[in-house]
Amino acid sequence: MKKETTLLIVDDEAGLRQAIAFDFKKKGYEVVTAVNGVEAFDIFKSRPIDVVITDIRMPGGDGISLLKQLKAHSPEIPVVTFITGFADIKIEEAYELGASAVFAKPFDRKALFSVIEKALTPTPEAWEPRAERIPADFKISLSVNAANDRYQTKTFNFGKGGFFALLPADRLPSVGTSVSFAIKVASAKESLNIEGIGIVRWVRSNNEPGRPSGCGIEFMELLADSRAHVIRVINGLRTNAFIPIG
Amino acid sequence: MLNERAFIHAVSNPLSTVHFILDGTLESLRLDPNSKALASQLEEMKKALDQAISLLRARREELIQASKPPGHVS
Repeated sequence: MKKETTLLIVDDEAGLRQAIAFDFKKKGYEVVTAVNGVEAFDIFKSRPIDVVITDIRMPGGDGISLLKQLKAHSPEIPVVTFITGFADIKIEEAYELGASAVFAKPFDRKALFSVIEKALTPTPEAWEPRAERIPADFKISLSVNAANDRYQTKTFNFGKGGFFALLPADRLPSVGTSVSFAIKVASAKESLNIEGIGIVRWVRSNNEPGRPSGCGIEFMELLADSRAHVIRVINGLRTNAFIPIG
Repeated sequence: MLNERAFIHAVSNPLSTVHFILDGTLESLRLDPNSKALASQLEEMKKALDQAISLLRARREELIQASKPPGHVS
């Protein structure tokens, strides 16, 4: 972590806001805080911020509006959100809006640190294989031939940090499952393979009107060739989605 | 409880605070050889807290499932 890394922590719950700020300051981060989305966006516009951690439900300026404003203003800013699991926003909607991570309160403290470190690691280094291998519990193979927009298809759909995978409702992995994936795109010009390991961040059955069954997968590790392909693909995306809703 | 969802939302916030601070405190105490007894006590506290959080999550999931249309599987 570079020394001047600045976090903006947004939560109306004073105790949690201060506790998170205390821990990150101890780790050497510069930390600023806000009690709602309106105050947070004013701060964001007034000084350099590297990561935003925000609650969703807050009086006087909610986290959903803040997330949209942040992504419209600075599409590359990593935003980590806290939800309570009810109707404010679904996990897949938060990823679609560009959230890099979504935590349901109460959340795991070490997981928050790990997500912030990953969010601050520039791609493609963030997707390099780790010293400790991630064991894959599930395998996914997807392929398309000569699609018009090769990485935003009905079978799979790329975002800036992962992808939606169309899967039958009776073959859906659970949230948190590590997945080994292989995506093949064949056209008259070229044939590309993207292989790696990801983590399932959300799952959708086939009973939601207008939406196919499938899951949202975050990239964790990509093979060297795949990293270069993925960077090329996401640089051309017109969406801010971290994982598209599918 | 008239609005159980609101209650679960409200109780999630202070539980998050306690969980976060307790985890950080335990992390520090584990590094201090003179604080083993206190760390052990707090480990028990954390187990109880984790149990409470598991119950909360299970109830939240029940409420979410109950609000989905009939036949919905996820």
